[in-house]
Amino acid sequence: MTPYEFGGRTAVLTGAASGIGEQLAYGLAARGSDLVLVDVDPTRLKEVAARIDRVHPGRSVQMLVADLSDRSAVEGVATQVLAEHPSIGLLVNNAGMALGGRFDQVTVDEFEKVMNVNFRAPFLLTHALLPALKATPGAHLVNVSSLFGLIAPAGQSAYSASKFALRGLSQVLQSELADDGIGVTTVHPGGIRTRIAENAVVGSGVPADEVEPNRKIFDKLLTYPPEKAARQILDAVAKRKARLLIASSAKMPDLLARLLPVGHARIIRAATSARVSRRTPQEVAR
Amino acid sequence: MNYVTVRDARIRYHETGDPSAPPVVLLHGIGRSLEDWSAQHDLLSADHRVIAIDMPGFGLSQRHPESATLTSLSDGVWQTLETLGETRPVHLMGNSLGGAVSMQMLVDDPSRVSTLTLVNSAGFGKEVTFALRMLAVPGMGRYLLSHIDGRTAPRVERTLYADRAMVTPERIAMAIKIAHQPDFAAVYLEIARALGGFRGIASQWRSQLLPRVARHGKPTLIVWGDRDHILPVSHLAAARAAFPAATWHLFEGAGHMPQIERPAEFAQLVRPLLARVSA
Repeated sequence: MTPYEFGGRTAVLTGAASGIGEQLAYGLAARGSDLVLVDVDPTRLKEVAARIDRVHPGRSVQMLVADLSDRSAVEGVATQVLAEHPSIGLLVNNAGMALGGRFDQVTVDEFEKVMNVNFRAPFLLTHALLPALKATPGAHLVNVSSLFGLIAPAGQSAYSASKFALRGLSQVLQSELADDGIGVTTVHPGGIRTRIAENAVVGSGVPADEVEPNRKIFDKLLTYPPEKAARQILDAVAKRKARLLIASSAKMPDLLARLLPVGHARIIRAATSARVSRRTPQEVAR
Repeated sequence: MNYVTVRDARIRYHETGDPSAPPVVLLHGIGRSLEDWSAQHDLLSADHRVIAIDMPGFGLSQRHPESATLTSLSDGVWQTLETLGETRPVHLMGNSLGGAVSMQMLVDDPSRVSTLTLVNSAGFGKEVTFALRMLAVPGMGRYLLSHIDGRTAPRVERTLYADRAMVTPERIAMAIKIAHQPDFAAVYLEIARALGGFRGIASQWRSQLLPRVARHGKPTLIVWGDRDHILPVSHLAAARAAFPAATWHLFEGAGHMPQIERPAEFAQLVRPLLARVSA
């Protein structure tokens, strides 16, 4: 496959208003791509678009405000993109949300919302936009999975399930789309300093006194700068890499998971201080 | 182009044909102008007085002081016609928002309407382009509408047609000129909010308006382009259900404005309707 050409092509990017997505937006603009930026937060999205306008006045930047947990909103985004851009060069499924709490501490609705944002939205968007990707010679698709798409620690049931699902889809597409000349990169970031912990939903059944400590532990693991992560992703796109692990916090667990398909879970548990409560709110009340 | 003053607002109109011939009135969609009907003047003016109007606050017309609603636009068009000396029953043709305004005009003054032609008209379902729904997001509407320029206007224009060759430099330039009118964003948002929100086009006004239109039993033609990205072609079925006596036509391979994308075919379709009542 020839290297991906960023210049003069349109990139569609979800979760573009903060974290890795925001940095990807700046990076794509700097490399000459026109942008369709999708996010649920209109205020931050406008700031990102305005900054790109200032720094790269030649780029076309379009904003689409959408809650990707809502199926009709995802379909709306796809219809809008197709109406305005018959061909797109790059689709980056980056938007994601986190949910803390053991499986029996999260509600079905909370679980489902995570699946909808992290898995259903990328699958719907990719399905709908595939004709536009195929219309561009040498197009590319990026799916941002996670470290938790490689390992499945306690307390991350919905998040891990969604990120394993996205990884599965992404790896299948990597094989299937090769015939169309479309490259696919599955990205597994480790602890990147983004707003994902700040924005994480905590399961309704998680005891209140454990929410803050757990959020802090999670937050402490997020140390890798998002601009560096974005640069690595765009370099991987240029080279058409199928898989990208970002930060040692992703690389070590990946190695362990491959060497010890089952046994790695204990090591991971011991290595991180994250603990998942075995108590229920009722027990706390007693 | 000509202007008349209607209640202190300068209203732009374009008129062709014999002033004594039966009148045809052409209404454009949201954020648009009478240019969307330009191709029909030559085709219809041989035996009609053809009047296209920039509705108050749209195109290059000034706004009226009251907030834009279907009723205020209906009033504005009726008053403009009076100012132009046209008090006979008219053949109303409305595209998109203009279709909804035509229906409101019929309900407001049925004795002055002879026929109704609805072209990819609003009023028949909640689904509408994501671009319009997004205007309802707090802070986004004004921002998006104040950033229509050489980069964004072509994108918007492309969504209107099936054939991209329709997106000419002249049309892009006109869209930018319209967007730079002082009250463009305000009037656009007023009517958009009056008719719907982020979830789509509201059902209340639609469910009230349609039965009242149907009750008058005016000869009605409904047309749609099957590649409409603004109001989906599925609304044609709803329109046919609401007006079972109406004739209808589906343009294959046309977008949101078949009256300029397929002008000759469009004129051919409306002529029997106009002739039926004129005779």
